[in-house]
Amino acid sequence: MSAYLDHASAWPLSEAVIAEMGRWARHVGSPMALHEAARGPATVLSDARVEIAAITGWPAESVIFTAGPTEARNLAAKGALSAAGESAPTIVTDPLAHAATLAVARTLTRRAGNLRLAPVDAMGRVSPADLASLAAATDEEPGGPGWPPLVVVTHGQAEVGTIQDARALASAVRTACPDALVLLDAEETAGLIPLDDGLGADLVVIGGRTLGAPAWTGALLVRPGTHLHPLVEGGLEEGGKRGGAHDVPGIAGLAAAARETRADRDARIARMRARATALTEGLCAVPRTRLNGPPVAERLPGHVQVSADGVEGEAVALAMAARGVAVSPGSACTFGAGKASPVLEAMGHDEESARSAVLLTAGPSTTEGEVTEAVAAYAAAVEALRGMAPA
Amino acid sequence: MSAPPDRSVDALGTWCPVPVTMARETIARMAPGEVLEVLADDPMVFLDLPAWCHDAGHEVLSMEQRRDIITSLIRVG
Repeated sequence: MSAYLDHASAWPLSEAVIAEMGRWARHVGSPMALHEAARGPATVLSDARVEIAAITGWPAESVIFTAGPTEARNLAAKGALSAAGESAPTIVTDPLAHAATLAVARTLTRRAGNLRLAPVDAMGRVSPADLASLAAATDEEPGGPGWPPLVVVTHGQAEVGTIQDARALASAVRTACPDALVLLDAEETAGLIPLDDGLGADLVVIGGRTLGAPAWTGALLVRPGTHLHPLVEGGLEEGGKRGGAHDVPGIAGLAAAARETRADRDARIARMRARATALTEGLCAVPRTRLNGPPVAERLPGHVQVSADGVEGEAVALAMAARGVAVSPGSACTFGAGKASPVLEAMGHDEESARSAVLLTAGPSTTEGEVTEAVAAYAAAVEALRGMAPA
Repeated sequence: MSAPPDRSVDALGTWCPVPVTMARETIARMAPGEVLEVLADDPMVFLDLPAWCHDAGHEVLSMEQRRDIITSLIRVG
């Protein structure tokens, strides 16, 4: 592979992160044991808890390590509603929420309850007033079925790069409905955008990827006082909220990556935005190609999604792969479903535009040369595919 | 109105003996006379927690259930 522009799927790990993971992969000893071999892994967990908790500023005990952000989303929604004794929940989110969030919401409301989706504008933004009015809809009464509502805010949108004003959304929901449970999905923003005090949320999902850790690592951060039941039941692990053996190497890598990111955040964001700017200019110079979502300065760092007339995004991604350039079709998560992106359709794109989307995501180590290669491969792929289309 | 507890254990969603074990691990780091709050929703805590406190020399100050949540206050012996 000569150019890697698929950081939406996985990031390369730094040598320091790999070394830390390797060190603990070689160590024998469970952190839950009583003997001397437990001391090292137990220290890894306690230190990592402090490091990850610092993302929100909440206490170390607020951190529940999970196998990636999708498990954390499941734990947050199912665990919080279970602890609230809710069998007919009201869930409020928007159509740009992560596919896992929407799946969990549909499962939880399959037999009873309500799923309400707030509208989004052409840039994918949710209005605080809309979200608050859905949370405070009068179908439910305090203490009755469907109360309190669970409101899920997706801080950074993975396909189109939209960044929500999460603090304003959470604040509006709290004003309209003080008892609401607010879940912030920060998979795309942890390590890149400050999440002080969880931006007002009760539960915060983070993933390792944007911190520079393996994509299978992550955590749920729980505001003190928020009640939660476990999703994976077991013993004492993670304060009883997540049973099963700990992924000590993964957690060590997550903490090491978080330390590196904290020390270098502004510089890496500047590099990623510079690469995204160059990518956007190069890609949009291809005739009849346009950027989807907000402008570079207002979207996730390093994130570019474009649509071009007369091509399928999946075909473009495969043609670019044949030229040694790694990108994703419009969505890194729903590739292969054979459907147009529901995210783009919710933002008002027609089916052709939605189907033609290609996602290119730069990371801190992406080079100017990779950007140049990607732009050239994209231009060649679009030209070739348009040439194959029936006249 | 009673003073706030010195420490709190959230054992919601776990089944006995986990709430008792969590209480025991936390109390091990507390001083005599301090008060621990235990939140649980397994009704077995009504039996298990007082029994363990009796054996271990701690005092159960109160156990109250509101909806599903049982709040216990324990004074460390």
